[in-house]
Amino acid sequence: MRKTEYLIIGNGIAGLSAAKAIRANDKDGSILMVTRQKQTTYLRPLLSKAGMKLADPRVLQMVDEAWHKEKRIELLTGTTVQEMDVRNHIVRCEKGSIEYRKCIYALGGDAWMPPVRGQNLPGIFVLRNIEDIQAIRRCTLRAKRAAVIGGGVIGMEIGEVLYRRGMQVTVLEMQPRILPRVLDQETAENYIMQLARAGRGAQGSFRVQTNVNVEEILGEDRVTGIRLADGGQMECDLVIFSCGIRSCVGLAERAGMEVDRAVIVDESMRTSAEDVFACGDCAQFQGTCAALWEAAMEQGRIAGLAACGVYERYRPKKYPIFCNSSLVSMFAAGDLAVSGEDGYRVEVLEDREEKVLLTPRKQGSYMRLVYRKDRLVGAALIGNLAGMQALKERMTDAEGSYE
Amino acid sequence: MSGYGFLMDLRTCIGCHSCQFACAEQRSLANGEWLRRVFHLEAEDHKRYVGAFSMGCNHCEDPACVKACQNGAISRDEEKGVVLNDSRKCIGCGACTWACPYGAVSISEETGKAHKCDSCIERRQEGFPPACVAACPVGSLRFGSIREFDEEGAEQLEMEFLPDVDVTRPSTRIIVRRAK
Repeated sequence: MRKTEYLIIGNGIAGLSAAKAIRANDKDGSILMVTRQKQTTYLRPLLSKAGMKLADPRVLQMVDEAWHKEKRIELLTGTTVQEMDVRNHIVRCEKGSIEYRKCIYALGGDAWMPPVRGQNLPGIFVLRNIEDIQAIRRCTLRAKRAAVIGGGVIGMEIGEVLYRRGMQVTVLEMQPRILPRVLDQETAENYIMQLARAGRGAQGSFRVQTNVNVEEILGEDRVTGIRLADGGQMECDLVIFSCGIRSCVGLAERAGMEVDRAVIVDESMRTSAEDVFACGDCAQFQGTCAALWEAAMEQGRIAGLAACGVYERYRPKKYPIFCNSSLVSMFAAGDLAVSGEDGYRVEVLEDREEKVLLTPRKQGSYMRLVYRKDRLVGAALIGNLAGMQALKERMTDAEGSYE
Repeated sequence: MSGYGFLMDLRTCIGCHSCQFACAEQRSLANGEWLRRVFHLEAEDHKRYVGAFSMGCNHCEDPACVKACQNGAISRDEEKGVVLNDSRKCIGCGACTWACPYGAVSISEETGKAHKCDSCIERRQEGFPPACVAACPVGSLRFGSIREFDEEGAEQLEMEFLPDVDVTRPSTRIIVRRAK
């Protein structure tokens, strides 16, 4: 049986952060990373932004094999951990059993596909991995009309990328507005309006439809259209589901670890199992799984430190949400009075002028500032995002988080 | 303060755009992408200054792009006196592009990540000046020690169409020709 000091399951950003933190604190301990992925750690957030134009996915790599060698962090790619015996500190994978002293559980999440009839037809994709974006890329060679199901950040980004390739793109959102957890109705409507204005190219088009439910995906041997719950139909030959992720918890559950929607961790990323730490998209802290790149990076660091016996407190931050796009950019942070409660004061500024020198930027912007007790608690910008850093700083308290 | 930066002599610049194109060539930028631009300042627009003016990243001492990056990809290398972007950490979110008051950071068409002037750090390490400086036919654009530039009587990057220098404390220095 193989033995290792530190075993890291998963080589996403959380796993990589943990490995870096361990190596910084323990120069000699053996580190083994096991991943079902074929590649070294790559910049997943770029997939929905630049993935389509990257013929060579190596641009996305954060580290390469030489780095692993230099840091003496062994990487087993294409390997799935099947069972964990947390009591005896042993995991089993297809290449044999591994005994560990400390284990970092950083399996991340899988793209979620809601149960819809016809969802197994060719031409239907999720967007999570390099392989996904490469398959989508191949499909766009023939496809002309795309439907993106889910109007979150990923859905909006990939929708705009497809539009840039001259496709007719429709983003379908079930809720009354896009980015429903972040944006308020008015801001979301302004965003859609600006997109509709900008998204009328010579070849492609970009539209957003809210309040729609997908009933069935139509097609014989490949996707030809979508039937909506209200009876409406639309033609399309490419469908992308961007409906969020589900944390990979199966392995932890079978090992008897405490699991809710994700693996439950304390402020030092400790799980209910001894010497096992979880971080990133598969970790749930104070009832929330952040499922954000920056949060995964921070949690990975804290988990890595904890594995070395250095206990730091994880402080969940509220990260701003934004889409930077050549079509229409959007930034939202803090509390935009989404709940509709009283006690907020809202200020809206439209068509702000902002002089920018080196990079010409489109005008037509919208700014929404939300105050509570005369303190700025939320802000949204659409179009011209200049000044967002100042807004972030105005909202941030001493601990680096919004109230 | 003993940092490094660009010096732009507006008295001698002929507005030929050599620096702009040399930069694009050095960095193999896609068509239409620039990390340095030349502007022509008309007396009517800018009461105090006339002539041409070249600007890229100003390698600020208090850079807004660094503060905006949530992934620690952009940082200021104090020793080399430049602001550098680590493309292995950049997730292409674009926060830096909106934060920079000079608009000196943009998203690369090719990689989808942020890119900016790195003062041709490789060339500098080999003892060559940055490509834009090497290309300037009249010696208007220089790169070197800010202290020496200040001793020569260079001024801060104060122009009416640019943000106040206190915002990010740019390292760029200028020598100006006053409009009559």
